[in-house]
Amino acid sequence: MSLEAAIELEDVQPAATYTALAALASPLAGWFRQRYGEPTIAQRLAWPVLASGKNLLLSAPTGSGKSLAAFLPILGEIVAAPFHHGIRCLYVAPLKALSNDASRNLQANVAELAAFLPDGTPLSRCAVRTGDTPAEERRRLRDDPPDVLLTTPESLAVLLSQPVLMPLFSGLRWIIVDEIHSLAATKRGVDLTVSLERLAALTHEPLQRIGLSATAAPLDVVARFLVGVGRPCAIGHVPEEPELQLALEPLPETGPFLAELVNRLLPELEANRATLVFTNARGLAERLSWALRRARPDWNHGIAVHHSSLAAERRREVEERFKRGELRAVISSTSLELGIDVGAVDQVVLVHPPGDVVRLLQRIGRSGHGPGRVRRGLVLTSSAAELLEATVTAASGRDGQCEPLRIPDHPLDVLCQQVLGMAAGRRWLPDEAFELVRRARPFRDLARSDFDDCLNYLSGRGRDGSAWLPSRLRWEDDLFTIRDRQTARLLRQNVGFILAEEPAPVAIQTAAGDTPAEDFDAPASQPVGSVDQAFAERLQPGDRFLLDGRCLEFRRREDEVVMVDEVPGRPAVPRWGGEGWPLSAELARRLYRLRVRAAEALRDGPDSLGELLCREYNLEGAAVQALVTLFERQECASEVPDEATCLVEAVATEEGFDYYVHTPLNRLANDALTRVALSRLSRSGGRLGRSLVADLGFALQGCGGFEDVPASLRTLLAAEGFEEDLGAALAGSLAVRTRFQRVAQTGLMMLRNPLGRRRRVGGRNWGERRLYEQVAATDPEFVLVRQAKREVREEVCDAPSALVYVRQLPSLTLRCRRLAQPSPFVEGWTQAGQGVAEIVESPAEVLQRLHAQLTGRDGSGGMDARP
Amino acid sequence: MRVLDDWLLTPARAAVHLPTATAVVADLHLGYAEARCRAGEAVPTSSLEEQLAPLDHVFSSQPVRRLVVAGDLFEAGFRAALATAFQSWLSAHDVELVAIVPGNHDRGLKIGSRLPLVPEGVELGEWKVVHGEGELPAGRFVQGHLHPCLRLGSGVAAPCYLVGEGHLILPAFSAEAAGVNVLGKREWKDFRCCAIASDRVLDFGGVERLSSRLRAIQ
Repeated sequence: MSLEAAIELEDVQPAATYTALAALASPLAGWFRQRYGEPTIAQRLAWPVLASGKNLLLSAPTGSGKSLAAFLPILGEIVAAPFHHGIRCLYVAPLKALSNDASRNLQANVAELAAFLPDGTPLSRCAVRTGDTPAEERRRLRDDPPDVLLTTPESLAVLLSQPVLMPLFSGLRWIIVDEIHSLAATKRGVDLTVSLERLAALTHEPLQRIGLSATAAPLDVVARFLVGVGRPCAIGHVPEEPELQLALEPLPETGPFLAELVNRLLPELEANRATLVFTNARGLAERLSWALRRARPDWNHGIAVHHSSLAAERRREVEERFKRGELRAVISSTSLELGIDVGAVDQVVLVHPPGDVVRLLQRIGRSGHGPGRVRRGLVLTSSAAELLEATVTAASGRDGQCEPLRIPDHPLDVLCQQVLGMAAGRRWLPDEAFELVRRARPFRDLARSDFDDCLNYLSGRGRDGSAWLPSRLRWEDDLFTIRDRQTARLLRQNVGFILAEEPAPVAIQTAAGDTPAEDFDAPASQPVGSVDQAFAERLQPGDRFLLDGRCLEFRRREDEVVMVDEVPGRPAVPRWGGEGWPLSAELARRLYRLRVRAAEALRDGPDSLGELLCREYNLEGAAVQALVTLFERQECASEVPDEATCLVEAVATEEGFDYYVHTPLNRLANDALTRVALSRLSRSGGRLGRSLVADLGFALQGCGGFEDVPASLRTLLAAEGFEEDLGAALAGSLAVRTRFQRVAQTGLMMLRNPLGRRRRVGGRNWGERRLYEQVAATDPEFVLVRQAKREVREEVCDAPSALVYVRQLPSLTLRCRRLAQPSPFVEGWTQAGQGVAEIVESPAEVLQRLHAQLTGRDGSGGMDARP
Repeated sequence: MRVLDDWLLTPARAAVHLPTATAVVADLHLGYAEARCRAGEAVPTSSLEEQLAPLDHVFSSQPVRRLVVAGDLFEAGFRAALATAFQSWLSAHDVELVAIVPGNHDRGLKIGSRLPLVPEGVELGEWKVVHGEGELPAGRFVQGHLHPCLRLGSGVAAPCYLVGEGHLILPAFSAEAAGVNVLGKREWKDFRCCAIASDRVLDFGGVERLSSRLRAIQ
């Protein structure tokens, strides 16, 4: 029987109050009764399970007492057996702020508990260790360790890279992973799972693992992620309370977006004591809070902004003030999504839909803390397309249809870093290290050859055994360990940076205008704010997005900086005013189906559609009218494609034809389709134009006209050879090179904190520009190149979903409609401009083409001169 | 491409002064990858032959046997082994090293070493070749140090020469150099941008309006 099948996952039910309290040590039960009275369902679920020593995944809504559910039984045991020199309980949270918050609450509880303990009982001590912890406190951790250590995955990795600290963990009994759902889908979480296995190997007694989660689906996946391979886990689930008051409202499109937003928010803020507003983007959060304060100077000190670009101290101050009820509103980008306790929030407002259901529920879940609460959310949208997206997101949220967690499968860059961390602790037999790593759930299927490739790379050897890189490891007979003290120091300086992504700064390069000296009248660049790397990575020249209340058009990357122009007006769809997350694959499919249903209803008249939207989607008034109008316009101009149809809309332009292809896929999968179509078009000698990739469709623009459009598209999107063509289109693409640089940093090939001064000549993109070329030329299958390609294939373009679609395509009706202009659905697509031209032209070809265009020559001769 | 009467701009990032049949290169940054390795990174290094391969092409295709280095021969200060290998390479190619104008990266490169150092800059006909870090000379001059390039986004970037009135700025010879984008660079508005696209040098015209001209066609 495989280990997988042997795992025992057990759903547990809440115990009776009496039974639950009996599971606690009696002083704690006494304190709890006096302080809180009745235990919550989450606590009645957790305490008996924890008392029995079982691992537990506890999934319960925010504010349901999860922290005490986890900590109280542990405190009871620590109090019962004091004087242990070493850490007894480790608490890991995805955010520093969360660890600080948990520490404050824990210390307050411990202080209150003192009165219930026999005189002279030493109190449990807790300490926080994060990147912000001062050196003095770090030293104290070693000399005088706390009973409970609260930390983050990165700081835990740093701790585990220091052999001198290993003895502190030998008596570790409990590990609590808070907000585990937000970690499970990331490489940070994967890294944590290996750290947990390393801890398990250090301890004398079995570790009891406790995962806490607000929303986690599917629970069995998260439970296995928590406990690793071959261990049992109890699952306690407190369902979200049904009461979810969620309203959707389109903002009027008459005035400037920010002004309309402020007008709508002011009465909302007036009516509520505490409002939390999510804007998706940091810049908009800043701008909105500024505009609100300007509109209501008397609220100047009652409105604050909170996002991850703010200094940690300032963020903590805002959280504290909000919690104390001193703030009327906090405007957050995304940073308050996770469970930092911000006290009683009356209402959550989302400006723009959040892109997926999990985020929606996380955000709305910040309102109405406490038993019997009502979660109140308002989603404000800025176009009909965005409203439709919000409608399907909200409906999925009401039905609890969250996106399933996708745990990164054995990322090899993370593995390299972990193996080096292990080597810093002691000497290892490769077999032994391999077995340990494979106990971590994301590495359960790790191939030995992949592991050996990592070891070869860290040993400086190519796959053929020849030396080609500096070695990080030293081999003593069959055992490996870290090479020397300098390498150990490098590891400590860089291991914490594993996966923390820095946002990409955005700067305006020039002012828009037509004066001859326009390029020089404005400063060379003026910072606007920042966007997520994932968003920055996907930008193509010409893409438009909103930031800081401005419409920005992407031009190019300069090192890390996203260079943009400010352009008049608004982007086609201001959803990009969010940080441009693509819709989840599930939401894209549901959105497509909703359109089909709406079109069916519309056939019985607008009232029928209105009734459907009211009845099943809880929409009212202006929202209903906006959507009915959208569908009427689409049906009038073109059609709403059903699930058996692939609709292509052809629009004749001066350059040729623009083809708009409607699919039920999100932007990532459409990206894969576009790359393959363009690559095949290029290979067949077809005229190339630009491409446009959106949720629910893509466009090939400026093409020569296809004689038979359906037949041509079937050829361009044929399933046969699709994966190979996508692989070829991606090889050497900017997406792969960009990803490679990040992978090379995580895999410690490149270092964010090198010794000595930074080598500036190569610039910040040296890894993607030069290192990638050299490494891929030497070994196209180099372990970190392989990892980068896999990530792009799965995360930048959702190749698996695209492949499923092209396999279905032969059974779909492919219908082409010729239109005078793009249909209303296409208007709802996001960015205009060039797509993935990089795959069909080399940089030199781009330069030669542009030069020919600029000089009016064909580029075959003219001004250039060969030496 | 021939510019400013006397200069041939080659796609090998080396300009040739035709009257004296002298090639001028700047910013070789030899030993770049080794310097990264010394800082703790595990990156591959390339041989000197690989790094100098473009120069090989210049000497094999042009009737030129003289070389001037306009600064930053090394990435991280003078390294004797690299200097010896560089000289051996030149000897093997029958090239005379006329002068090295030390750059800001050439720490430890001292007069008295076997290399022909000319800190004040070297004259080629009416032109003076300097590195370009400090005060610039009067009259016509050639410089390195600035690493100009034309960057168009989406991974498209090309090293370029900047051709001004009696003033030539060389691209960095080192393929490791990221380069500084000429677009939007106020101080270069009076130069012409001659960018290297594979085996060609293409004149993109004046820098001042290049951004808007490119925008108009993109």
